[in-house]
Amino acid sequence: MPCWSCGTPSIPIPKEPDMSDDRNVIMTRLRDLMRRSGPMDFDWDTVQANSPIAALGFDSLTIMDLIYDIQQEFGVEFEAVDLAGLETAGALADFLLERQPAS
Amino acid sequence: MKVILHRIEYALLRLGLWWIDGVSAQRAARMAAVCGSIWYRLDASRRRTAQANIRRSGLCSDEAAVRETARRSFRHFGILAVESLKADTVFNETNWRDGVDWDIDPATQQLLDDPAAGLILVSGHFGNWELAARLLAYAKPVVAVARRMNNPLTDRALAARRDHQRLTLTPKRDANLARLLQVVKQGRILALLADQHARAGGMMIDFFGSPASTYTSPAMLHLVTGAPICFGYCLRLGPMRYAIRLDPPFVHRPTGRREVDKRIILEYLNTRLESAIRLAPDQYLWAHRRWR
Repeated sequence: MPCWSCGTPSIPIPKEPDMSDDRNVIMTRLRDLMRRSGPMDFDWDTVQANSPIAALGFDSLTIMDLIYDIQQEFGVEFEAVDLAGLETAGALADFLLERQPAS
Repeated sequence: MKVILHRIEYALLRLGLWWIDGVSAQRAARMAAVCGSIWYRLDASRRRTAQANIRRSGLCSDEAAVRETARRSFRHFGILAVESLKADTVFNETNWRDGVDWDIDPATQQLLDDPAAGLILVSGHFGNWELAARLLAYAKPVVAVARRMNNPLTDRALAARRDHQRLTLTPKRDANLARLLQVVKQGRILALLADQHARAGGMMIDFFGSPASTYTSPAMLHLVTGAPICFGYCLRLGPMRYAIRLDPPFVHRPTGRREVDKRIILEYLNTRLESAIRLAPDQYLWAHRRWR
């Protein structure tokens, strides 16, 4: 369709990368990883960005399993100790989002 | 009733400490060995456990040797308790290398000398693990994860004795993951004893040929921090004389197969502990129910 003001054909404008889309993708990947390393009787689909990690049923051993899985899945370099201080699933997603290589 | 028992236990401990402080290390160790022998005779349940474990390990060829190794193991445990308590009167900042035969792999020595390099040190209830942590703390600050005693009074009294500027004890139950990760990041030694039954949370790893539930935390800490893991032990050679051996650093890069990675590291650690125990089976704490 031509431009309504000048009549020249319109050029499709590339969509700005949406941070919230990326965050949602990371949240979905995190839910899958938590399902793999966390308690089996937990409904991982209910995990939201504001869910406190401490309330997800991880103990000191399974949280290390989760850290390992995150390191392997996301392939980004970070200190395990930096992850251990994060309080919510959303904070964890943001942490990983910041460290994603630019595409 | 429990409170009264704890107070009696505490009073006996204070009396014992007062006596230990007043006599020489040699005399205290001799008395501790006698106490260990008495304990062996009186505690039938632990005696049976120790004998069954030694039998299962296949280290002794006949029943007489099984009984003798078990008895000596109880004696050794008494000696190690007393010698650990006497350590401060014998070793200090200036003489801690004396009386100890140090055998440290050069690569491990480099890690000890580098203030920024963290290290995960793994051992078992073999030789004198308490003294090893105290002496190594002179080389590099140590944080040791230890089980708290049931009696809070004796726990506090003994913790105060063990307190050392460069050795920090973290009770197992309160061991916060972030704190443990910080230890390694800050270039300190994180010392773990990894040979107790780990219940349902452990991984079944062969120990002397029989599967035993094994704590996975040493392996996971290594995998997620990348800090080198090192097996070591402190063998008793005589009254207040020890040999401390530290293996070369062990590094296993994560492969993405978490359980396989854990198994590789834990099998390595169990094999190294078995080799150490074979040197002096009577210096191992056989009374613990490792196989259940």
